[in-house]
Amino acid sequence: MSESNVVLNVQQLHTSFKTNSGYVQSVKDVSFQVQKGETLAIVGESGSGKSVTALSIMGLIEKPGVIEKGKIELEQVDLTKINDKEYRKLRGNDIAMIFQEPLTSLNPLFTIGNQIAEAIKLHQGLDTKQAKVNVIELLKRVGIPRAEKVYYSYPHTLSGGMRQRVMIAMALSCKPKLLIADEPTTALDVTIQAQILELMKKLKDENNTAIILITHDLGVVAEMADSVAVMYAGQIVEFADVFTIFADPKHPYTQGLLNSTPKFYEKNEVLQSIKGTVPTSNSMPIGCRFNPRCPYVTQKCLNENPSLKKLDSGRQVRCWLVEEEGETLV
Amino acid sequence: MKDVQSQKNILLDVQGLKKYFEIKEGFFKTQLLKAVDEISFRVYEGETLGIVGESGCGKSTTGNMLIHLIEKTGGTIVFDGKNFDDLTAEEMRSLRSDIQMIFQDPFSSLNPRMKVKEIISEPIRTHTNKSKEEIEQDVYNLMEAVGLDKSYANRYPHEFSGGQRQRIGIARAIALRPKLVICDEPISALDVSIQAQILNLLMKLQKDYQLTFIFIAHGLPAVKYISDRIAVMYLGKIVEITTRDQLFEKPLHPYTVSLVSAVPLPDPTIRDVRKRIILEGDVPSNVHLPSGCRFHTRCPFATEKCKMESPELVEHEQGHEVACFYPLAN
Amino acid sequence: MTLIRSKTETPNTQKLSISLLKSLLKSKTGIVGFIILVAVVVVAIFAPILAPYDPTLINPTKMLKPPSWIEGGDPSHLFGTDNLGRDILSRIIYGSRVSLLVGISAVVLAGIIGMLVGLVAGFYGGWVDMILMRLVDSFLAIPNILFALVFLAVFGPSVPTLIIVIGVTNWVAYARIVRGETLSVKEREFVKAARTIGVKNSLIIVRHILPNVMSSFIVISTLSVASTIILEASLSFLGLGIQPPTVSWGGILSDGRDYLATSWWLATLPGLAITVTVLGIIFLGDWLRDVLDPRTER
Repeated sequence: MSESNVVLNVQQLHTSFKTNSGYVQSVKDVSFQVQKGETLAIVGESGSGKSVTALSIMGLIEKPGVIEKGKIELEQVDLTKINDKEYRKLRGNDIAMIFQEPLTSLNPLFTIGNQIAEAIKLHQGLDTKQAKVNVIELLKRVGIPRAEKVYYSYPHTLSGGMRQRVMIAMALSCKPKLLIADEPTTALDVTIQAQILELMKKLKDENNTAIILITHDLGVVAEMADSVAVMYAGQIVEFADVFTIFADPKHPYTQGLLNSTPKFYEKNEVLQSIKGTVPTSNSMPIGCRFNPRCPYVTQKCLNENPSLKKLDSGRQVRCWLVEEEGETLV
Repeated sequence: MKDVQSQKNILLDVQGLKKYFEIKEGFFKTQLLKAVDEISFRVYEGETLGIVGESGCGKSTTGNMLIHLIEKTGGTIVFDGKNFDDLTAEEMRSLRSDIQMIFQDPFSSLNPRMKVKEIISEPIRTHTNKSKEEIEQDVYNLMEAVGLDKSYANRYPHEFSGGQRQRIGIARAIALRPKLVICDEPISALDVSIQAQILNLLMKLQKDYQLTFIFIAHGLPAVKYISDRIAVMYLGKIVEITTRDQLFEKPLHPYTVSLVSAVPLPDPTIRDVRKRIILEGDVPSNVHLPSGCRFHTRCPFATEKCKMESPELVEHEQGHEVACFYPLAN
Repeated sequence: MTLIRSKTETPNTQKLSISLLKSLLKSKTGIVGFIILVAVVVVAIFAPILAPYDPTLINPTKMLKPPSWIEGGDPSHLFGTDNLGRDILSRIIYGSRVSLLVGISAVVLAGIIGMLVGLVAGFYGGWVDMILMRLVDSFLAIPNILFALVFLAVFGPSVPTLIIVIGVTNWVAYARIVRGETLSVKEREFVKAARTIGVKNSLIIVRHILPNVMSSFIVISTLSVASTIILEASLSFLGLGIQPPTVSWGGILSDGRDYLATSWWLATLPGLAITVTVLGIIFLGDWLRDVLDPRTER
């Protein structure tokens, strides 16, 4: 793919939060690119920094949080340099976001139609009548039955799956270049999750939207992603295309994550768990941040944090063992 | 009590269990919400029975009735040869020590104002007259059994991570060596890398303490990993119940099939070739239940008969019960 | 959410007082509140030693003297004198006794009634809850001050009746808040867990519910010590509070109202005493709430 296809280019992003005991870095040195029509999955557990990364891109980091360093380029425009007003124009137009719990992101006092129409009128300058036609069209496209009726419904009368569809309709109303989906199906039942994932795939193919999918569920990653960034304790520890990550994980954390996920189709499998717990900002280990939980830990890991190294195949891994042994890992 | 066919000891025998809630609709009208509607199943000594289903299927209500947190509306529960209905309040209270529960939310299931040792020892203090030293020793043994350092005994729950807190909850549940432990979504609030730890811990404890588990969850992979037999619930009914391998190799109910196929698998290579049934629409409400078979509104194979009559849960072959007029043989 | 303390350090009860003190030193408002309250209590206890004059001593030669730092002030009367030539400073010092006594005892009384009613209503629910809450509603329907006026008019104003009146009129606020908190705590899983263990209801209330409603209880208690002191002052102001010769802040305030235009210090200085004390109590209450929650680091 050529350079011009890059929709989002994040370089050395550092986001910190000020606490009583100084600054805490939630995201440290995160870099990645997303191409047109590509789905990048950011995988990680709680505290890995995946949501903070998303909020940084959306310009929704609020005090005491601050983007310390780094570039966030949306088609060559550095978002860290624009002001609030420009950002507001961008959000909903060029970048849109859907959240885990759709109920909290919809205003309970307005009808569904009202809220989506508002967004369309604001960004596209349509009148009320045209906006309504567009909204109903959108609701139909995201698979909402009886869209005319839903237009006049209030959020609480809809099921979780329907609300998420509404959120997707809202996010897509202005044909964004980039869609950030933060755990979009985590609150939903399995069969509804399947519907929503299917819908997201369909819409991506139709609009060629770039998607950043934030999730903790490796199943969802395997289902949706083109490339995968695995985050741990605020850093990307491994980056590769989805097939490589699942077939040949290089970082011990990625391996551990895969080993502790039930394969489902295997009979009598034994899950290997990662020992210990995810470090918190005030108990961050020195050296490699995964070292207290890593089965292959060496002296070097205890002293120095490895950098994210690009291997010949184009994939990236943050691990001393990979650096030393080239492409192979025990 | 022994099961004639399988020669296994029946620990729990549930027949026609139901729970209806009265819902006020409008000013004078009350409606019945049938959360659990005449379900029957057995749990054999030493096994793990998984109960899966989506929200509103009644799986948690079932668990709460078994542990007598809520009164049943009808049906019988015979535990260890004792019928719940024949017990006095005092006998019921002492039966508590034989049935215990592990809760979903490791944050709200521990009293934030009690120390770990107070939490774990509460069942012991409630049901025995052990001395302070004996209780302390018991607490230390339990902490060791669930993989917690005994130096943590004097700490408060908020000082622990989700996984560690769930271990505390597990220690409390097994403190009295119960015969039956009901695990109500015990891992769904935990990080992926921690889920496997807890699942493995439960399996180890089951062996060490000869426990019988009812494992309630909405996540099929975890249920498959831990269960010997699995019951699938839909809208207050058990639609299929059989051994784990049978359920995954030869599912008979269309709902089971779609549920299994909706699980996103952690393997990107099969995502485009995998056969799946994506169900249309949402789960209907428990108040306005569909006529006939409750699944007919979403079932791809529904016929006129399904709309009129409700299928009973019948044995299709030995140890494999299904509630469907047209079980999917292949 | 991982362990914050190091392995060797285990908290125990002996260290509690020290850790409380440490946390007090960390909180600025806590210290201010603490100092104010300690000062007021010391003043109340040692009133006879601290007060330069007898608070009821009338001195016709020195009427309406302004505070000593103001022109025309008498250096022997720091806060000046009132219309009968009584020393204001001494009166404020003695007044603290009654105000604190009434404020704290009335709150304790109201708190106990309200806590019991709230816990029982919230925990048991059903008709028990219905009856108790209708009772609360009917109390709320009567204006506090009217109830107090009638009660005091019938039984005659004295310190014990004042405490009972204020206690009985104020418990409803506690009952409502404690009930609400109980309802929410009751639904938490640890209460369910206690039930599944077979813990008796009374123990569930004492062990699991009470400690978890305590923090909001303490906050409203401190706030209402403050409002009780003010209520006592208003009743005294209306002439139905503490009767002379007993001195209370409200009483001094009420005596001073006729001279507000000419001798402002008569009413202002006791008013200031009330304000400062009330603020001190509120500050301390805020800190106390934080400190009683094990989730806040000590």
